[in-house]
Amino acid sequence: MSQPVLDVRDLIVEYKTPKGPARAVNEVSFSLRAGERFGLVGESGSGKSTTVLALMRMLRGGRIAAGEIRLNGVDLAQISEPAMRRVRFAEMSLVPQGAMSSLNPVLRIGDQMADIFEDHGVRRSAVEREGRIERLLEQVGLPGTVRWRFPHELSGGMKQRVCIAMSIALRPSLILADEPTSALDVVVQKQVLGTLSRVQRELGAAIILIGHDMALMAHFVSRIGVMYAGRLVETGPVRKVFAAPRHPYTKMLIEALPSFEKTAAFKGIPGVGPSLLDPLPGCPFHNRCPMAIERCRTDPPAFRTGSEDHHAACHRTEELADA
Amino acid sequence: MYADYVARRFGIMLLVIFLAVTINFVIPRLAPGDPIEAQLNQLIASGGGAAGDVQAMAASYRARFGLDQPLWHQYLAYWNSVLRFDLGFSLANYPERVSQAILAGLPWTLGLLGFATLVSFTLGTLLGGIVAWPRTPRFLRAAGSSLLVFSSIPYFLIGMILLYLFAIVWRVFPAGGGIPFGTTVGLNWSTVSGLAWHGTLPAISIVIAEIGAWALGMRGMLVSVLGEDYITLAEAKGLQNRRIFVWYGMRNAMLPQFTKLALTLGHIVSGAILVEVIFSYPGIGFRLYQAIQTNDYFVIQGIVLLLTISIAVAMFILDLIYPLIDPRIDGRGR
Ligand SMILES: Nc1ncnc2c1ncn2[C@@H]1O[C@H](COP(=O)(O)OP(=O)(O)OP(=O)(O)O)[C@@H](O)[C@H]1O
Ligand SMILES: [Mg+2]
Repeated sequence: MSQPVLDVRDLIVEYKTPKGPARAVNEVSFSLRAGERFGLVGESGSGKSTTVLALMRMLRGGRIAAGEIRLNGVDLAQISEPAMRRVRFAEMSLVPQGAMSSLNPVLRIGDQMADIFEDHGVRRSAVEREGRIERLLEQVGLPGTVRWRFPHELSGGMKQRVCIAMSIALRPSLILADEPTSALDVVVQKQVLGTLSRVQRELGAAIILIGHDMALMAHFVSRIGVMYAGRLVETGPVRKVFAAPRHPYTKMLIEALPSFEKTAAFKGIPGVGPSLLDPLPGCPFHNRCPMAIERCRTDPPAFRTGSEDHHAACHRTEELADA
Repeated sequence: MYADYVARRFGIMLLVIFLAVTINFVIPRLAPGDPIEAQLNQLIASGGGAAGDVQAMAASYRARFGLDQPLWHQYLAYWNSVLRFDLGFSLANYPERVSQAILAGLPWTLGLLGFATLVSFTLGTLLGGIVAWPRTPRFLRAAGSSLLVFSSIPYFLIGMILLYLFAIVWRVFPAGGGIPFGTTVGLNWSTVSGLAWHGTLPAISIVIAEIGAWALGMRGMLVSVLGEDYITLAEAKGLQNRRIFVWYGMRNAMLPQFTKLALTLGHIVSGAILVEVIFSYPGIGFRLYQAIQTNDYFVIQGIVLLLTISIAVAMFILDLIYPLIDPRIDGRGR
C-alpha cells in the first residue's frame, strides 16, 4: 500500500489557561490515503477545530505538546515557521467556517486569489494568472467576472464558493473544511457541499470535513471519526459506524438523530463532558455512559482494532457489537 | 452611481454652509443690547474724548451698515457680502478688513498645522500598527508603547517646555514669529530656511503631542482587525507576513483614521490656538486670540464662519475619497 497523505500520531494539543494547560486534543491518531474523505464529528468543544488548527499550525493560545503530523512524509510539528508557511495552501488548504467574513472587504476577489500565487512563488504572466483565476471561479460554478467584484457584492454562498476556489488554487493534496457550510441556509448548504465534493474529486485531494450534521456527513464522507473530550473514540467506514457503532457515545449520537419513524421526544445525551483541565481517570465517557462498569472508572481504554479498519476505544465494544 | 453619491454629498455640504452662515447672521442679532452702541461707548471711553451724541453716531453707523433695514433685507445683504468674501472691518485695527486679516493668517496656520498634522498622522499610524502587530520584535514594541505616554501630555505644556529649553535656555530656535524679520519672502532659500527655523518648535510640539493619539487609535483598530476571520484565512493561505500586515491588517484598520484625519484638518483653524499663542505664530489662531481679547467682534465672527465652512469642506473631501478607500461605502465596484 502507498504511503498515506496524512498520518497523525498521538497528537496532544494544550491551550494555556489561567488554571493551567487544558488538553483540547489528547493522543489522537489517524491517517488518510490519497483522495480519501474523512469526516470528523463530535459534540461542541470535543476538539475538532483544534485538531484542524493544529494541522495548519495556526493555534491561537495553544501549542502542540506532543505527537507527529506527517503530511506526505514530512513531520509538520518539526519544521520551521517559514517552511510551514510554504506548506499552507500549497500542500494543505483550508475552507473556512465563516465564509461571510473570511474575505478581505477592501480587496477585489481576483486580487485575493492572485496573492496566493504571488506569495507561493508561482511566477506567471499577468494574462496567464487572470486566466487561471477565471477557470478556478468557473470550476466552482461562478462566472469569471466575479474576480472584479468586492466581497460585499456577493451572497454568502458565492463567498463560500470563492473560498473553495482558493483552496484548490495550488492543487494541494489535502483540504481541511471546518463546518464549511454552517453559515448558509439548508438549500445552499447542499449545493456548496456538492461543489466542494466535485472539485475535491476532480483534484484527487484528500479531505477532512468537520460537521455537526451526521446525516449530511454520511452522504459526503467514506470514513468517519468520532471525537469526545479531545479523544478520538471511534473511527471506521461510515456505513459500518452507522450500522453497528462500536462505542456507546457514537451509538447515542446516532440515536439522537431525528428521523421520520421516531416521532418520540427528541433524545439528547444526558450530562456534560468532563473538564479538560482535570480529566476523569479511566474512560472520559464513563460518567455519562449507560454501560460503564467498574473497570471504566480506573482503566483508560486503548484503541482496539475491530473488523476491517473499524476501531473504538471502549472496554465493552464487543458486547456492543453483539447487541 | 458615483455621480449620484457626489451630488448628494455636495448637497449636504451646501446645506451645512447655508446653516452656518444663517446662524452666524442670527446669533449676534439675538444678543441683548446694541453692539454698535457698546462698541462706540468703549471707543469713546478708551479714547478719553468728548462723549458727544452716542445715539446719533450709532444711528449713522446703523444706516451705513444697513442695520436700519428690515431683517430679511439685512439677511440678503449679509449673504451678498459673504459671497463676495466681504466680512466687514476689524474694529480693533480699523482700516483693516476682516478678509485681509484672515488671508494674512491663513497660510501660516495651514502650513504649520497642515504639515504637523500630516506628519503626526503618518508617524502615529505607523507606530500604532507596529506596536499592535504580534510579530514585531519585543524591544520595538516596548519602545513604541513607551512613546504612547506623550498622548496624555497636553500640547501647550510640551510647547512651553520646548520653548523654555530650546529658545530661552539654549537659544537654538527663535522664541516667536513666523519668519526672521526682514526676509524677502519668495521662492528662495532664506524664505524656506527661515520658515523651517521658526516652525520647528511649534511643529515638534504638535507632533509629539498628537502622535500618541494617532498611534492609540491605530493600535486599537489593528488589534480588533487582527481578530477578523479574513486575517485567519490570509494566514492559512500562506501569505507573506508583510502582505498580511499591510494589505489585510493596516489597510482595513486605517479606515477610521482617515475620518479622524479629515476632522482634524477641518478643525485646523481652531486646532492649535494655544500653540500659536505660545510661539506668537502669526497664524489665524493667534489672530482669533487677539480678537477675543480686544472684543474685535467682526474678526471673531469671520474666523468662526471660516472654521465651520472649512469643516464642511473637509468632510465633503473625505466623502469624495472614502469610496476609493472603502469599497463598501457606495457599491462602486465594476
Ligand atoms: N484559544 C483557546 N484557549 C483556551 N481554550 C480553548 C481555546 N480554543 C478552544 N478551547 C477549548 O478547547 C476545546 C475544544 O475546542 P474546539 O473549538 O476544538 O471544539 P470543536 O469540537 O471544534 O467544537 P465546535 O463543534 O463547537 O466547533 C473546548 O473546550 C474549548 O473551550
Ligand atoms: Mg469547531
